[in-house]
Amino acid sequence: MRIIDMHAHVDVCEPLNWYDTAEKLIRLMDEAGIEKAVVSAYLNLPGPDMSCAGRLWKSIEPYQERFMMFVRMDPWFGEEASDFLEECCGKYPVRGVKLHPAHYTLHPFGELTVRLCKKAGELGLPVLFHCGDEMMCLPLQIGELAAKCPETTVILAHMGGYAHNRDAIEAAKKYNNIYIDTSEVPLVKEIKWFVEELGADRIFFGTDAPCCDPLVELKKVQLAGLTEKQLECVLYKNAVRVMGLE
Amino acid sequence: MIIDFHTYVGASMLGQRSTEEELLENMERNQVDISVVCPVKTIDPFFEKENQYMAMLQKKYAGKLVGFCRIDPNLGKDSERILENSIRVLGLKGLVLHPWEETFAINDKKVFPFMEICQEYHVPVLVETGYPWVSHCFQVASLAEKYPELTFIMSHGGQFDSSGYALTDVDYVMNKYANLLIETSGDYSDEGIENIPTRLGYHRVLFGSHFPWLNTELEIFRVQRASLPREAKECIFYRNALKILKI
Repeated sequence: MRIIDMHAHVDVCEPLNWYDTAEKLIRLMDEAGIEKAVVSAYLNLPGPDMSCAGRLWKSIEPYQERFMMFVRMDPWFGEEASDFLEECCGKYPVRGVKLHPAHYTLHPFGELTVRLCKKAGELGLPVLFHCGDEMMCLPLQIGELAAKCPETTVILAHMGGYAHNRDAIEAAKKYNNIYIDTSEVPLVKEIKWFVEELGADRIFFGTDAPCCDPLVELKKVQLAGLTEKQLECVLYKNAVRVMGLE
Repeated sequence: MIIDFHTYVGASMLGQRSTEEELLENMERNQVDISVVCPVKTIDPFFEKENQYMAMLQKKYAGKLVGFCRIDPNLGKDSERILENSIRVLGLKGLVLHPWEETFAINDKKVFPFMEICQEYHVPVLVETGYPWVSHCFQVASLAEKYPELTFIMSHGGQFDSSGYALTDVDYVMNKYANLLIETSGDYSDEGIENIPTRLGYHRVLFGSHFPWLNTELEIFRVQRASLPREAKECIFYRNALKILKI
């Protein structure tokens, strides 16, 4: 069965001691049989290191058929952020936007984030939100953003975190532009709960690799007790449909 | 050999439930030899019946189950008496503290008398760790600093953080306090399960499944997959637990 990973990373970020190169990720993807992965960096743009989009592209360019580049952004920069996103799309094959509200400290439903997500929607780019148990990353907060940007595909990472799975389901039920990714959290039976509540076509397989082991992440989904058809949707069909892949 | 350092049996008032038969069946299926079994939260705030149940399980399944007791530090002297009784009379082998479910900060001074008791009887303390308000790893470390003779095991690799930012915190406090260990359930692969034993020693990590909340097969696979030498995996899967549990 094909496997597409909707949440992974390539970046070298010394202050965090994270050394995640494209080669390291490719090795792990090959081991797990992952055909293609969404990748973003660990720093926001615009930001202190303006070269990180270029650096990400340079790292993944030799393996470009294996990756889908998401630009990690900071909505604080308002118009400048929107312009930067458009500029990035001209320079690189950008396929989406990654936002981590706890990193830049903005409410997801605030004007600045809404404006950037609307821009992403206009450009046909989904927005992957770090979503979890931290302030400003809660599923119901991001749900309000999704309501304000109905034309933008919004992905809630990590099934809403360790303690906010119920809220992720509630938000996704309310707003049909919300999708969920399975990455990082060690939850198995909850995957089936999400599929039962939302339908298999709203759930993406994600790993958060290389920090999380893709084989462990894959086993997690395989242990969830999904039907073959549901598994196909989660592991690749939804990604193919939403990302317009072959 | 596999020793699972973190399981629960009973019907939690907060929703999750498992029976002793289910635990044993799960152990059998996953080739777990010994499990540390902890009491769930019930409507009895003192955990007396649950602690007695753990002692009964430990006796009934001697050599297979090792019982830990649980108390609520908010209940002061009554809980002190229950803790001492659980160790001295019931023969339970450790204390599990759940700051999130019992609502107390792990480094609050109300916890100190219980640590004195654990120190007196030389029993380890398993802390449900990773809740930033009550049991962030820095808070557990603050307690560990005050009781250097006690062994503290932080569940879930010391963090419940899908950002991964707390990994740096865990690494920092583990480096500083030698009496802190981590249990592996739900931990990150490279920064947690691989980095800590490689950098700080194989003796700092214990395998745990957090049954029935998490999936034992996946949790075993998580450790099997780690890029660590066989010796390190043996330490994680059972050698460290044998030592701490004095088996």
